[in-house]
Amino acid sequence: MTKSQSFRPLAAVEKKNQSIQLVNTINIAKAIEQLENSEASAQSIFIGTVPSMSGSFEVKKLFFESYEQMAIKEMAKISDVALSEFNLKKVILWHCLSTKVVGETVVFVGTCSTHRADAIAATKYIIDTLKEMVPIWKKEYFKNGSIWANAHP
Amino acid sequence: MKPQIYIYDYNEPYGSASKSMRVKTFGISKDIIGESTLTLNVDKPMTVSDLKEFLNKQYPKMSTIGTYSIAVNQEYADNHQNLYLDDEIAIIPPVSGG
Repeated sequence: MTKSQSFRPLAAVEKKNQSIQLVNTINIAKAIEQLENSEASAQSIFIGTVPSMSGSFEVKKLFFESYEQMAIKEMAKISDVALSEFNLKKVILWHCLSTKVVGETVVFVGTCSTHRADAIAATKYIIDTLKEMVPIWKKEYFKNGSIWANAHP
Repeated sequence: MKPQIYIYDYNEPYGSASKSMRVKTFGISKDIIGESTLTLNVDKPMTVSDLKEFLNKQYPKMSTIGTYSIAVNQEYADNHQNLYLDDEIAIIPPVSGG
């Protein structure tokens, strides 16, 4: 897989005020450039990366699986709600699939608005709701095995 | 051997079901069931909760995982929702993105 192929979305919803993507690799510079072009004064960003530890276990890598068609719909619903509830000018919501190693970016949430309070609150709403609703599953690989995160109560 | 259940085929009389329902599996449910699409033969009315009951019985490990959902046509479905043969049905175990 070449670099340009890895940035190509696996599924996407692209509109003037929102960019929703499932991708193999997140290009943070490109995401920030899109936010800056929206010409709103307040931009808020959340970036999630692969941690080195999960509880007391050392993480080797993560694998992300998704029900892509449904995931992109759920992501678009979250974005639509955020746009109207928080008076946003733009939402960027990109999530990675496939295998990721420690330190790699997994999720990028970017919002912009005229007022910082709206952008910050919207970013929190989007990442919190994504974690609750979007059909994406993370498998954590450790030295001695692997588990699907959150699978058991 | 694939498990057999019977769901109503609304185009045909009872007992003559020749169609099958496919259920997509993901994450831990794919590991438990052992295939990415489960095929079920059906000839009686079935709701989301009937499907869950069947899955928990056929695959006891399904009742040990966290509360899972069923998606119908790429939307979260209520337990009382009816399933039809042309629906796109999927098991949604507890999500863990982000």
